[in-house]
Amino acid sequence: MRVLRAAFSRVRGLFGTQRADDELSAELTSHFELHIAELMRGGMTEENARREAVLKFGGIERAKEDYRDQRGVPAVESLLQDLRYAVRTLRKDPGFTAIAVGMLALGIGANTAIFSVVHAVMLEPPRFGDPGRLYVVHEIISRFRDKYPLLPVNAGHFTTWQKQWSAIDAAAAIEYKTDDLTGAGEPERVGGARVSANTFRMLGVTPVIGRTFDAGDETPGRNPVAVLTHSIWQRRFGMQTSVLGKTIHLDGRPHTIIGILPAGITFPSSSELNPIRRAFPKPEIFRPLAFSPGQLLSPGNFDYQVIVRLKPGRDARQALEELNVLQKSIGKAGRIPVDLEASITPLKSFGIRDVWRGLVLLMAAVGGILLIVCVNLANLLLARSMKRRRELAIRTALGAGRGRILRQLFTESLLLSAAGGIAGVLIAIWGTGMLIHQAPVDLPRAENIGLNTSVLLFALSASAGTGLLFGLVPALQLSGIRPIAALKAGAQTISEGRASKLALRALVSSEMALCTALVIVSGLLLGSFSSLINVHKGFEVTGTTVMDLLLPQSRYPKPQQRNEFFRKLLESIETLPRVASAGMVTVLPLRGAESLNLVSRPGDIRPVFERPMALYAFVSPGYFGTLRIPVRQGRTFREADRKRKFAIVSEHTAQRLWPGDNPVGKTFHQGDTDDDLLQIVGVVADVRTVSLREEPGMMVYVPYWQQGSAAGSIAVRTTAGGESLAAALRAKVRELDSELPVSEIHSLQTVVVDSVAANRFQVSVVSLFAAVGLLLASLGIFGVVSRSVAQRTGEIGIRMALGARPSDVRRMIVREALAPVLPGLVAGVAIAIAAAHALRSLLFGVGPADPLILVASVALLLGVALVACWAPALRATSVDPASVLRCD
Amino acid sequence: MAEVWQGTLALMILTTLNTMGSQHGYGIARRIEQTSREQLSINYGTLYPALLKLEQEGLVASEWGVSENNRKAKFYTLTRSGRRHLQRAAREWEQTAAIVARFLNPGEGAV
Repeated sequence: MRVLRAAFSRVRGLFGTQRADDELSAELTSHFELHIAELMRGGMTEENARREAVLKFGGIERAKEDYRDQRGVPAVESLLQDLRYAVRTLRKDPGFTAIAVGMLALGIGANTAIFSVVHAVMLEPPRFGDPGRLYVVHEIISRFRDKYPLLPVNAGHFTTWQKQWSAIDAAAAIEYKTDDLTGAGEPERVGGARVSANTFRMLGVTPVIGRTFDAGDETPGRNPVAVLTHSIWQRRFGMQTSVLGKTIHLDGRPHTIIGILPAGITFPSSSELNPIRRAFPKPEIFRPLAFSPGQLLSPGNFDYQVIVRLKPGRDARQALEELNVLQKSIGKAGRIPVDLEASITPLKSFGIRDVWRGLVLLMAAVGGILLIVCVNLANLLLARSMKRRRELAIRTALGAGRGRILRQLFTESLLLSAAGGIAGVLIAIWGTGMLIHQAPVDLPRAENIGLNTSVLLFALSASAGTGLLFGLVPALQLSGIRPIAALKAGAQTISEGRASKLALRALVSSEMALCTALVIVSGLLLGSFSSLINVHKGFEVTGTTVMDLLLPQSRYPKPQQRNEFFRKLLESIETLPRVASAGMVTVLPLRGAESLNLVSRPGDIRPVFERPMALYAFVSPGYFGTLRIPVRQGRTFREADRKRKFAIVSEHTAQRLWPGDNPVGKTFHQGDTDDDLLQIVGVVADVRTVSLREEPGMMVYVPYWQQGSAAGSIAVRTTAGGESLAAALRAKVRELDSELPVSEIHSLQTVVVDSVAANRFQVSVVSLFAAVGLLLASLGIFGVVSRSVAQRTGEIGIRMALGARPSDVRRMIVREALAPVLPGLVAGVAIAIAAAHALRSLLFGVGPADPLILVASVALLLGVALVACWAPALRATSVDPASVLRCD
Repeated sequence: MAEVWQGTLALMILTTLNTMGSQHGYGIARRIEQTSREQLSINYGTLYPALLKLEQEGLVASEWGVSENNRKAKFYTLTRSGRRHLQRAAREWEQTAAIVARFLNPGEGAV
């Protein structure tokens, strides 16, 4: 109790020290007066009495100090003292402080920004109930394992799993799509999904108002219902609770809103679960999924994404074994026997499979920058501290222990890094905003990126760590200072000891190594990107505008109506001025693999899954001309072909399936042997379809009117200037159907660039870091060399006075300055090559040790280093030796 | 040695205040010297930190007042908890002294 009371008093004693000091002085004065008075009463003179009183008192200052120590908390007070002193010294040198805080802010800010992305995408667990037991399931057809390692799930198989896979609690199937939302303001095309009734229950998501689906909603024919996400509720319905029970129209059909999901829940996007297909926009409207009998019986359609929840205590490996056994029996029992397997992956790690390498690269790059900043700051502090040797020597001579001085120096560096950290958080907020803006659209959980506790904690640790790190070298250097050596006159010209020279060289080398690694990796990424973008696509990108349309089932129920719409639209578009040609295709190139089907040649009686498969695209006659895809043999489609069933194949298909022959005139079935028989009328050049990275596979083109597809992308080639074309195109669509929403209209170039948005993002960020790193490193080297030259002005003066030519002196300085740079360069190259090997999957068209890029990078770095070393050398030798020698 | 000394100094201050009632720092110092029959020669300055500590622990209370010869001085008084603490500490000291004495005079039923 006493101790507590005492502690409390001491904390209180930290404040109001001035008044307390005054009171102590008053008390001591009174003490002396009393003592002197008593002594004088005994007969002493005042002078003797005073002397006697002082003697009897003991050390006055000592007593005062002990009193003050007792009064407050000495540790805190000396810390505050250190802080005040640090602030004073930093204020005296505003240039240095500004540069240091600026560099730190950049380094810490960039790291924090990237960390916030990494945290949201990779580290934070998905906000579902018990996410550890959620798994994504894919099917594997052993035969197609190489080309299609993971397939979506078949409806019939899914229902079998639900009944017979005992390791799971629940299974949900998801079908992604886009929905045309009408009847509630502006028509809009939104992302949507049909999901099993138990999906949200399985994910542990409870609606904010209303309900989610129940088993009854799955029965076809019941009142169609819909559940909305929080974001669309906010965006289009103003977050009003009255929205429950309202009717909206999806694809022309009325649906009742029955529930709203909570905010912050990120439903996995289609690209997270299904890597081979193009990304649908993030789902905002959910409808119940009901399988029709036809879907359940069809063995060849793998259309659904499946998430399951494992029973508690069940091992994933066991569950997979059980599933594989089940798959085998399903495969054998089917109408067409096939070798089936499955794969299950935890939900969280599946989403980031393709993304984590890139993120790790970014973190490494930005970490490298921070390290370079630390090295620079260590150098700067070292330089500054050299100037303070005198002051520190005096302090040591007066009795300051090494620990005390260390604490003072660390306080300064921590203060700098704290200031840098605060500024860095501000930069991070801005930077994160920019990153989100530029990030690829399908970055999983991108909405959760933002400032939160973990991110701030990271910024704090980064600041503290940085402060300790860059403060270490000068602190160790100086705290062991010997007063006599430092206080001797002329101490300024004493050059640094061997240990410090070594430390300096090590710092420069490490800086150079980091910078080199960054520049080379960024060069490799730039080279990859350039190769990727310029790869031969097979079609011409310039001068073409594209527009996506989706005809709603409700108003265009019959294929003839849909075909008619597209025919009329294409016709009317071609009448527009400045339009050279127009064409249509169901899925544009580089938008992913849409429609895979068999190619059954007559006489090919192999079992279904052993027959060749190709990508089918449904096009208009003008398509190939519009995209300038050359026709190699035969011809393109004609309107007159409508009465027959024709097809066009790609070169690759022709070579694979009709080797050495001219396939024109040959026939095959579009699918199985009882499907339509098509006759080939032409062969066209290969086109990069799925993505720029992948080589073209087999493609078959069928006229759109044979398919009656409701979705189509119109491509229009213009003769000059395409911006105003957008309005004209919309007008043409409106003429035919005023209620049809038109997607964004953009150029084919944009489609190509969007397909590599992730790469472009990565490349631009890493290149930015490399540029910043190069700038920082060159400034750092420049600083080190300048300082070393400044210290050696005496020596240089002597050399020149003794007859050395300026060019000799310059060469000597540069040679010595470059000495630590070269090993750093070599180390950096090694680091870069190792990193590139680890990140090989991110490269395209360049090897991890691409000689051209290596040589170019090294040349750039050497050039920059040379300039950084030459400039101060030049300045040094331009000084008049006599004046240098005179003032010492 | 310094620890023991600080402890005994506090005890001596408390005893003095118990006997003398309210007193200023100089008075307490003089009285301690007198009580120890001039065998203890303490630096008067050491008293002030000790007095502060006692005040922080709530064993004494201080107040500015006027001395016998009309000089301003800070007076210290024993608080109730100070008196309690003094009694307990005095008892402990006596017990300790008795045990040590028994050790040094093994004649009385020793180990």
